[in-house]
Amino acid sequence: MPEVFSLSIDEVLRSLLDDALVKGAQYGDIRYGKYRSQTVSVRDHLVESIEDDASEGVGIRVLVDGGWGFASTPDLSPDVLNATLLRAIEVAKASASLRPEPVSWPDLPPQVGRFETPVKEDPFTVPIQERIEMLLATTEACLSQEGCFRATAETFCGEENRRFFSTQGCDITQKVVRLSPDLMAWGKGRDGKVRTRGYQVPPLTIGYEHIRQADLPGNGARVGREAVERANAPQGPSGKLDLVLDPAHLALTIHESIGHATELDRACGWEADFAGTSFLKTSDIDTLQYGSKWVNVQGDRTLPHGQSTLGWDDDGVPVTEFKIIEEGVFRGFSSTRDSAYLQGEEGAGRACGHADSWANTPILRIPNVWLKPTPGPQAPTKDDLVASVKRGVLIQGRGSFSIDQQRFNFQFGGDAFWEIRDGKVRGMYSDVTYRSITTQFWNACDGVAGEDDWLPHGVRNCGKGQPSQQGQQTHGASWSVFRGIQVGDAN
Amino acid sequence: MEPTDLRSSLSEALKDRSLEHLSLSLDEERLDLTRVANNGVTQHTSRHDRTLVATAWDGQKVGAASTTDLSTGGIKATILRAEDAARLAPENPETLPPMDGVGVVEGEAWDEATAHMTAQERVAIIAPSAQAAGKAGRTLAGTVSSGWEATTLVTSQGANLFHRGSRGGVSGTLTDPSGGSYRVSSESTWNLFQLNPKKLLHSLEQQIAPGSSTPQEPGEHRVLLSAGAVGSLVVWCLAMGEARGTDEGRSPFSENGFPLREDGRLLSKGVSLWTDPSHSALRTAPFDEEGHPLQKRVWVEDGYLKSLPCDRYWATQTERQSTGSSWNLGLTVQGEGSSDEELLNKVEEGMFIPRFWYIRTVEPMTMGLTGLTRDGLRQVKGGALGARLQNLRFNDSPLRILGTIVAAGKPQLVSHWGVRMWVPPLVVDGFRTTSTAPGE
Repeated sequence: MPEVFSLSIDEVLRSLLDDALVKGAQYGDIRYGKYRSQTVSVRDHLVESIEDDASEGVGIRVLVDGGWGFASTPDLSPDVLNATLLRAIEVAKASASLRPEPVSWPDLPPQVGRFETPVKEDPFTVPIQERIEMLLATTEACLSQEGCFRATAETFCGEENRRFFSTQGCDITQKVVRLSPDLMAWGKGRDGKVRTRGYQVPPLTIGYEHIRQADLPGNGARVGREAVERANAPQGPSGKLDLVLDPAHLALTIHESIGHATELDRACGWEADFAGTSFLKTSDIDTLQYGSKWVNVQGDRTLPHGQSTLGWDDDGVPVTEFKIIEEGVFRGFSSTRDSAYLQGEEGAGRACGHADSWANTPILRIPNVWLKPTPGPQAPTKDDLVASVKRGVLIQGRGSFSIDQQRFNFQFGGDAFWEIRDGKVRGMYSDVTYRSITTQFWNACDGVAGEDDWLPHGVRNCGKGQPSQQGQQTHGASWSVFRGIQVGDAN
Repeated sequence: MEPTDLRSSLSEALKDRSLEHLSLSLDEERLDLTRVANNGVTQHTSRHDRTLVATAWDGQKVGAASTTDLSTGGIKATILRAEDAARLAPENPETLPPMDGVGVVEGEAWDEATAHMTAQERVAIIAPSAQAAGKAGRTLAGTVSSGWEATTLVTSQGANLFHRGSRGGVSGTLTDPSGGSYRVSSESTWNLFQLNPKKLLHSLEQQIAPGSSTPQEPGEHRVLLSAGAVGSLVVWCLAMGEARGTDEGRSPFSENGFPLREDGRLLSKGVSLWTDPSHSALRTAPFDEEGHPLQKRVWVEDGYLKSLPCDRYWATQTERQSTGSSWNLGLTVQGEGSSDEELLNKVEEGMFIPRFWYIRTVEPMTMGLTGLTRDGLRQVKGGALGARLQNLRFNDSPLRILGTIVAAGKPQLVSHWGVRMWVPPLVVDGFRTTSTAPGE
């Protein structure tokens, strides 16, 4: 057990839960968190910042008279922790005074255990000097390309130590390690036009081996060259075209048009004031044709190295894998322990309760939501998909993205674009956007490549909730093709 | 629980430094927030958080570390981590030491009732509207927040700064069974009760038009934008306006960016954009995270671009005055102050847009943005509000939109991304929508 989880802290926290029951709570849980992260950022030939951040505190949640209360503090002295419990109880009592129905909180057998991200090389043992040299070599490789005038690169290494106790006997220890490198280059074209190109490496829960494997320096020259090529490229086309999308790009499309749309709290109005609702209703389960037969989408907090992967969610529910879309048919929503009943689940839900730190209360967050590759040796390859396109665009990476609050209408850009004509990839375009309605888009999917093309890209900074919380999810996918999508509205 | 002025102990901790310079900056907050959905409280939180950032300088080498542990040992350990990081950093010729000559600055924007509202008081603000919604077969979702924030900053160059501000907000979205919805909000203010939050929430009841929504053909329209909608567009000027990026040709304000009008103006005649931490409605901290003193600055005056936020390093390179980073924004339009009715009368055929959603850049060099309407898009005909419309996606630039102002109403306090803004509702021409979304 990590040093921070000293017996004395455990005893204090357990004693607080006993007090919560004495003071009238029907249920209570406590999350202790100790977080650390290191971020090294370089710009051109300079180190812009080296940041070593730490955060520690406790969040206490209680259910009193059927209403939720939550209070948090960074001060671990017994007096302050007791006062924090009293704040949580005061808040819960006020909540109960305006609740048409009490909170649903299904019982769960006591959960006791430990989870740790599998890590080969602890990122915090890698000397910062080594990270600096690697990043500077990367930006210098970018800037070696004529016309590339700016490059930024960064490594983020994070560690989350979480402890969870509940009045129902939960005692859970979890350690999550996050890694994400980043690289961006700016190119200036012959006519002064400026465009960027990135190298979007999947952010994962994993060790430093991931950054070594990504080989940022080895990709620097390519990224710099493509930034300039993009700045010199013609504007993209308009009209209905076929799209071949890479896994890095699809990650965001999946996130916005499937991940958020299939959050049960949104569909049931809990987020109507801010994050929005969903075009989906619970009556759409097992009936709505969300996509074509190629579209099989899993919700999955067990995915190896997924950003949302751990052992238990922040409601103490063991993580699970479940079907969201099966051969195009919508199968169900992501859910939490207190929302599961809304879609007729009998158990404690699909373990999607998550708080971004000890300071915030758990809310329903998108799990890892990933598109299954087409199985077997007959699966199409990326080249097969390109060959099937007479006139279209190949899009790599994430760019501009926007979707309405009910998740109907989205418009996406990308990081790099190439013309496809007569089954072959041609020259680059500078800018392309496409727009569709969620179900029309996924029903236009006409091929998903196989396992060899599958990559676990994802999202590092998904904002949701009031107060706003940041979420991280992995949205793996293989290259896929979509027919007749509207391109170029933003031109 | 009160904000802690730790200048004395942090100044003492400055003596522990082993490198040339050190700054210690403490941000602390208490945020109490009541969340309602489907006419009941779904989430209710009381958050106390703080972050102490130590930044150490070894000549032109700099490193930073942060902690939530304010014990003497915790602060010392954080200073050591920052100094370790600084020693590892290569020299950065753009690094400047902590600002000299700042001295002692104290400020506050404090309302006791906003800072220390109880949980039951917050519920009491929103409960009448939630209960009325339930009786009418409608659903209310919304928030009431209260609390405070405080910043303490001391540096080895003698800066000794403290600011505390109460902070509250209110929002409410009412949804009718027919699918119509409308939102009122003002989510960041130092004095919640000046907004009369109960009355604001109560006003929702009259805002949803009966019947069902109809699709509107996308195209270019004259539109009336609520102050909130205006705020969510102009905030991009603050986000993307920066002197260095502009000089280096990476900004919409660059020569290769958004084109100026024939008369040399960037925006319509009579339009000004400014920041002012002392504005009575905005009241933000009088210094930024570096301790840079903040004062009123006018970025656009009478439509002409006058200056842009400039950091200290770039100021030394370009013989400008550094400005610091202000987290507020104001938009003034000559002749503003029209009533809602007068504004509607300026729209013979068009739309009323109360709220935007999910605005993102499409073309950064022209501030080309995309986003959608939500919660109450209405047709306007003959100067009167008409039927509810299905949502529309736009692709347009705030710089173009602020160049087509037809009329402006009375400025209001709005916020977006936590930026407090003082902006009027506007009637603008040629607002470019490109597709419909079937919902509202």
